[in-house]
Amino acid sequence: MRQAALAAVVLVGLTVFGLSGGEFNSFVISLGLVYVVAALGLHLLVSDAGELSLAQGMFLAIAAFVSVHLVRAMGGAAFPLAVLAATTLAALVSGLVALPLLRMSGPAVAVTTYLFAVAGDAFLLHQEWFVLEAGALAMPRVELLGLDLSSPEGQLLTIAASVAIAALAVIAVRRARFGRALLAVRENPAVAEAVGIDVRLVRIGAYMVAGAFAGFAGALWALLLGGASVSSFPPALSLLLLSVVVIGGRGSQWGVAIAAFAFAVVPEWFSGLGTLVEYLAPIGLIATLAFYNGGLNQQLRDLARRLPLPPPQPASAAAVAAPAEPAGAPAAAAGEPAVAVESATVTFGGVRAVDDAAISVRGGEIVGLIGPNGAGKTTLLNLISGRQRRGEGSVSLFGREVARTTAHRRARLGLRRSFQHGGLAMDETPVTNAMIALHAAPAPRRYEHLRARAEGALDALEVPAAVRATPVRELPSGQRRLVEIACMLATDAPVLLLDEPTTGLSGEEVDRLIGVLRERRDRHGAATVVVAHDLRFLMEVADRVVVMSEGAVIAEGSPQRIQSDEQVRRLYFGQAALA
Amino acid sequence: MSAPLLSASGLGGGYGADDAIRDVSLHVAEHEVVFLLGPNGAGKTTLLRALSGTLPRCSGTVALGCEALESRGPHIRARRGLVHVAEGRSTLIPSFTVREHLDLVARNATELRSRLTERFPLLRERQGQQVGTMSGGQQQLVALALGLLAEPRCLLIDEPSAGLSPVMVEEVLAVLEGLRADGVAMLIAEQRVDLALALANRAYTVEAGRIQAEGTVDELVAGGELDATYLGVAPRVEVADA
Amino acid sequence: MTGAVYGMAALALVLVYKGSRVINLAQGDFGMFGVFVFYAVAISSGLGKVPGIAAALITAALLAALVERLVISRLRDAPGGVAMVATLGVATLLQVAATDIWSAEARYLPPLIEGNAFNIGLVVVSNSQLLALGTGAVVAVAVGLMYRFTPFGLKVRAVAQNPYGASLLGVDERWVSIGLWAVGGLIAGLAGLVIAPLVTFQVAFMLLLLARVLTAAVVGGLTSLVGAFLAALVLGVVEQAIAIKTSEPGLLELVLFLLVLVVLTLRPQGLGRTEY
Repeated sequence: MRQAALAAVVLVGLTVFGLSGGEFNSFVISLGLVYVVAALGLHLLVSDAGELSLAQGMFLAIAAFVSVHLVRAMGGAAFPLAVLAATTLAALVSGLVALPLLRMSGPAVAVTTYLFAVAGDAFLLHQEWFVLEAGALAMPRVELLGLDLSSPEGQLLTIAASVAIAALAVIAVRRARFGRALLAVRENPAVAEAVGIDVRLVRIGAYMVAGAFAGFAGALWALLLGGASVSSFPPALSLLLLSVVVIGGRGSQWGVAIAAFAFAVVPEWFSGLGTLVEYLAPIGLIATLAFYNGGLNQQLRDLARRLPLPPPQPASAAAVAAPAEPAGAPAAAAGEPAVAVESATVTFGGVRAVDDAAISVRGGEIVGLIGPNGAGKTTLLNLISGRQRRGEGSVSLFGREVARTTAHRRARLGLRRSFQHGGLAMDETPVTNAMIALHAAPAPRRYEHLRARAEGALDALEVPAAVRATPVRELPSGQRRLVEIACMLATDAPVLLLDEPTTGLSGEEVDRLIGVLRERRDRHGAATVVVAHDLRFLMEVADRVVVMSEGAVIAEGSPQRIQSDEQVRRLYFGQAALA
Repeated sequence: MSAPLLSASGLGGGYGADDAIRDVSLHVAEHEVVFLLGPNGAGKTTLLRALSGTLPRCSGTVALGCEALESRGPHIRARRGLVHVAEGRSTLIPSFTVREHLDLVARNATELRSRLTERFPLLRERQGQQVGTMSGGQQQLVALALGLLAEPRCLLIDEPSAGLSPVMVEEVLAVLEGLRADGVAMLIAEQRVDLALALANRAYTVEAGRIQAEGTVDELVAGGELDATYLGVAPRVEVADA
Repeated sequence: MTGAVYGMAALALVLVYKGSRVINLAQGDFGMFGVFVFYAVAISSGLGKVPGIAAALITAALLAALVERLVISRLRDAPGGVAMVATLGVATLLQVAATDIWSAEARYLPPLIEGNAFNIGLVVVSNSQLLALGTGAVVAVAVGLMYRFTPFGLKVRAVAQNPYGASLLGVDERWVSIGLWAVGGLIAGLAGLVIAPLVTFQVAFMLLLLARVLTAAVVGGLTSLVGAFLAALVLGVVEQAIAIKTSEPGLLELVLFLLVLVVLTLRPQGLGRTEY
C-alpha cells in the first residue's frame, strides 16, 4: 500500500510538473509514461515468466495503426473502444506468435521473435492498406465528454491515468494465481507441473499479457503523436524495450518504470549533450548484465536498506482467520492401493532405465525406495508423477489409469512430489512458494485465504517467521528443504512422492520430517513413496522397503528383512559379500 | 607414514544453492591408495570435483605437496599433477576417436604415448574408433589412460567399476593394481567394498556429504561402519549375518 | 553471390555459438567497425588497400576478443538468453560509436578489385561479386579445415560436445571461447569488406544481414556448420528469385520468419547434424 501511495504521488507530481512546464515538457513526460506502460508488460514476461521477446515494438506498431484506423472510421468519441480493440488485438497476436515458441529453446525463441519484428517492419508496415501511401496515418482529434484529449494537457492526463491502470494491472496479475504460476514456470516447469499448473497455457498467457500492455501503449502512442508513422517503430524499438526491462532488473515495477522513463526522457531533455546520451543505453545494459546483474531494482533495494525507514510489516497470518481445513481430495480407504505401477519399462537410448518394474502403495503406508545410482528410482518416481510419460506399462492413481495423463492433471488428482534438486522458486519467499504450491487447491482461492493456508503449512514444519519474507535462495539448505516439504504438504494431497528429502537437514530436522510424514500417514491416510540414500532415515520412516537395481525391483519387505537380505548386501558391498 | 601428498580441509560446496558436501578434511600420502566408500548420493563425486576444481561452488583448502591449489582452476591443478579421472562417459567426447583424445591431451608426447599404449593395448587396437561406440568398460580404460598421460602425482578416480561387467571390472582392477605397484598415489571413490579390500591402504566412509569414519577397510568392516553407511543399520549393533 | 557472404557470416555465428553457447548479435557490427577502419586507413588516409584490409581485420578480431573477455566471460553461468541480450548492448554501442566517429551518412566504398569479370549475355558479373563469392568459398573451406584438422579445432569440438569432460582433459574453455570470438570477428570483418561495395555502406548496413544470417544459423540447427552454410546459400538464391519475380517489399523477411517457424515447429533441433 505504501508503494502504491508513493507511486500515486510520483505520478501526480509528474503530471503537475508536465502541465505547468509548457508544451514540450508535457510531451516529453507523456512520452516517458508511454514507455513505462510498454515496458511494464515486457517486465512481467521477462522478470516473472522468464521468457524473452524481441518483438515488443512490433505490437506497439500494430496497435498504434489499428487504433488510428478505428478512430478514423468511427470518430473521436470511439477512442476508448479503439484502445480496447488495439489492446485485445495485440494480446491475441502475441499469443498466436507464442504458440510455436513453446517447443523452442531460448536462443531460438529470441531469434524467432526478432524475425517477427523484422518481418513485420519490412512487410506489414509497408502495406499500403495498412499504413497508407505516405507510411503515416494521422489521428483525428479525440474528444470525449467535452474534454479535448488531443491537446497536450488532455494527452498527459489520459496517459497518466493509463499508467495508473497499467500499474494496477501488474499488481493484480501478481496477486492472482496466474501471477504465481508465472513465477513457478520461470523457475522450473517441472515443479510448476507438479503443483498442477498447465505450463503451456501459462506461457501463452504471459505472452498475451505482454502483448496487451504493448497494445495499450501503442494506442497511447498514437494519441500522443497525433497518429502513427512507420518510422516510429523500427526493430530497434523492440531491442530498446528489452534493454529497459533488463536494466530495470527483476522484481519490482520501480526499477523498470524508472529505466523506461529515463530512456525516453533523457535524450529529449539533454539533447544538448549530443551523442553522449546515446552511449548511456548500451553501456547501461552491458554494465548491468556483466557487472551488476541485480539491475536498478537492486540499487533501489540497497538504497532502501540504508534509509532509516521502518521495514514493511509482513501481512500477519493472524489478521486473516485461518479457514477451516477444507476437505482434501478423497483419500483412499486404508488397504486399497492409491498408487499402482505395473510392468513399467522406460528406455533411454537403448538403456533400460526401468525394466518391467512394479510397485504399489496403499493409503496409510510409507514405502521406501532404495538402490544404487542408475537403478531407476527417480525415473520410476517420474513415471508415477507424470514427468516421464514415454514408457510402457500401466500407472494408476486410486484405480484410475493415468499413464498418458499429464503431470499437472495428476497433480490435480491429489499427487504431490518433491525434487532431488531445485524444487522451489529460488528467488521467491517461502510464503510465495507455498502459495504457488496451493495453485490447484480447492476454492476459496482469494489471495488472503491462500496466504493464510500457506502460513499454516510453514507453521507445521516450524519454518521460522523471520525468514518467511526472505528469498528462498538466501536460506540455509536445511531450511530450504523444510520449506519445500511444507509446500508439498500445504495441500492435503493423498499421494506424496519424496526424492531425497533429507539432503541438507540436521538430525533434529530429520526427526521433525519423520514426525510430519507419520502424521500424514496416520491422520490423513496418505500414501507416501520416499527415495533416499540416507538409509538411516529411510529404514526408520518406511513401513516397507522396495529395492531396485538396473531398473528392476529385486527385493521388497520390511526394513529389518531388507537390511539382512543377502542379495541386497551384495548389491551394496560388491561381488565379495562381506563374510 | 610419509608427509601427505594431497591434503584438503574444510571442503564444502555443491552445484546449486544446496551444499552437497560439508566440512570435509582428508589427506593422501605419497604412494598411498585411499578409497572413499559410501552409497550413491553420499557426495563422493562432489568431493572429487571439489578437489579437482570442477565444482561450481566450493570453499575450503586443497594442497598438493606444499602448494595451495584452492584458488586455481582445473587446468592448473591438472598441470601440477592432481588429475581427475571422472566416470568414463562423462569425461570423454563421444564423437572423438581414441587418437583424437590422445591428441587433445598430449599431442607431442610421443614417448609417453608409446609407453602408455603398452599398458593399454586397447589404445592401439581401437585408436580409430569413436569412443561413443565403445562399451562402458572400454571407455573407463580410455579415461584412465588419458589421466595417466597427464603424468599425475595423485589420481582422483571416480567409480572405476560403475556399470561394468564382471570381466571388465577385473581388467580395470588389474590396471589399478599396476598403477599402485608403480607408486602412483590414488584417491578412489567407489561403492564396491570388494575393490577397496583388494586395493586400499586406507579408506574414508562418506555419508550425506560428510566423512563419517576413517581407517583400513578391515577396520571399517569389523567396526560396523560400512553397515551403518550402506544399510542404515545403527553402528556397533550386531547384525545377524555379519 | 550474397548467399556466400551470408554463409560465411552464418559460419562465424555458429562457431561462436558452439564454443560459448551465445548467439552473438553484435557479430555484424564487428565487421561494420572493421569496414570503417578500412575506409579510414585505405581511403581517407590514402595508405592503400592492403594496409586497410589488415587494419580492418585486426580491429574486428580484437574487438570481438575484447568483448568476450570483458563481457561474455562474466556471463558464462548466467541463464540462457542473458549473454545474448548483452551482445545486443554491444551491437548498439558499436553503432553509436561508429556514428559518433564517422557519422551516420551513407557512403560509397570503391570495389576492392575494380571492373567486371565477365558478361554472360545480359548478366554482368562484377569483380566485387566474384570476390564475395570467392571469399565465401575460401572462408568456408578454411573454417572446415580448422575445425576438422587443427589442434584448436579439436579443442573447439571437445568443448562444444562436453565442456566438463574437456575441462578435465585439460582444455581451457576460456581461451577456446576467446579464440572463437576472434575468429568470428575476423570472418565478420571479411564479410563486411566484400559486401560493403555491393550495398549502401553506412552504420546499420550489417544489421540488414542479421536477419538472413540468423535464419540460416537457426534453420541449420545453430550448432551445425554445414547446415548453416547450406541454408545461407539457399537463402541467397531465394532472395534473388524473389527480387526477380516481384517488387513487393518485405516479402523476403516474411519468408524468413515463416521458414524459421515451419522448420522449428517440425524439427525443434533444426535441420543440420550437430557435430559438423
